[in-house]
Amino acid sequence: MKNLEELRKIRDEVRKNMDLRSGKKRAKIVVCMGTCGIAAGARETMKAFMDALEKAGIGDVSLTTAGCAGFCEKEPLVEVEISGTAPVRYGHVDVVAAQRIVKEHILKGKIVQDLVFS
Amino acid sequence: MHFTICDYVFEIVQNAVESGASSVRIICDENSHNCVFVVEDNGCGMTEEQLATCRNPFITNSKKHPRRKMGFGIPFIIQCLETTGGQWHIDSKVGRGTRVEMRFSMRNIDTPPLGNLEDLWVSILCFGCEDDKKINFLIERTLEINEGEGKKGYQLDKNELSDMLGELNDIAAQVALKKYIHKLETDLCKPKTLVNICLKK
Repeated sequence: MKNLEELRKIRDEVRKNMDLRSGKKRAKIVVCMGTCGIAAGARETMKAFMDALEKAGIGDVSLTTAGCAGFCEKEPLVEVEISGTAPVRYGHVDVVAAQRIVKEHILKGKIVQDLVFS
Repeated sequence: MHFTICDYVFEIVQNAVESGASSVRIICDENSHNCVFVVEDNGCGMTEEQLATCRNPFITNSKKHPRRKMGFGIPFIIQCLETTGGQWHIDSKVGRGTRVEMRFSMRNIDTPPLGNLEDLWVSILCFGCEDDKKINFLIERTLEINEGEGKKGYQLDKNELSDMLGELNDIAAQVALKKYIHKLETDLCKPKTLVNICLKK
């Protein structure tokens, strides 16, 4: 099981470099990835969130995917829920928008008004 | 239409997730001629009538959006394969599950670029983590660089990875997973096919 040993090493290194608060997560991000989302670039958006969170060293965030939310014209659509507050939906979230959301909403708790969909 | 083969495959995996499967197996077998993807699930399956209509984009049985009348996933992939010299096959039995096989011809100039397999595996492995029902994903990736030299490959088992990393929707787990898969994929020494080189330029 050489491979899993390698994974253990990578895991320990990542945990050392990221801020992992025990217990509850500070935020939850859901990227919609239906046919429409993928065609609009949701996989790039997902990658952008992962890279931005890694760069910021934030480990206590959950990032996951979902299917089509039914608002195909607004894709890539992303739902951000800061723990204890109502979820916010952002539309047309490209790589730059994803970086802004991490910087403003996740880190400072300030909603990025011009990107809000609902 | 999607830009990369990975985008098409992700769609089929999403169908498998929505079919109520508890286990989804994804095979990616690549050589210099073909890239074969197989997505097998043990979900609800389709009747023969449903299977016969699966290539019609204006028919869907998605329960998530009852008023929506379109389902583009499979029709898109069939169109892509049929116009680029590829092949496809779908087997399905009600209550047993579905198996979708997609054979892309990597020698055809019109075949979309493969895309980023590492990102695809990460996206698949963190899919559906929020649901109460846990789905196990098993990914089998093999590659034959030169004909006759034998295949090399790796396997990713979600259960095994979760045991080591914890919940895979956690960003720290995903970053570790991404680095691990990048290492596995780099070790495989991915050959640059003509199609991919041309499109990257």
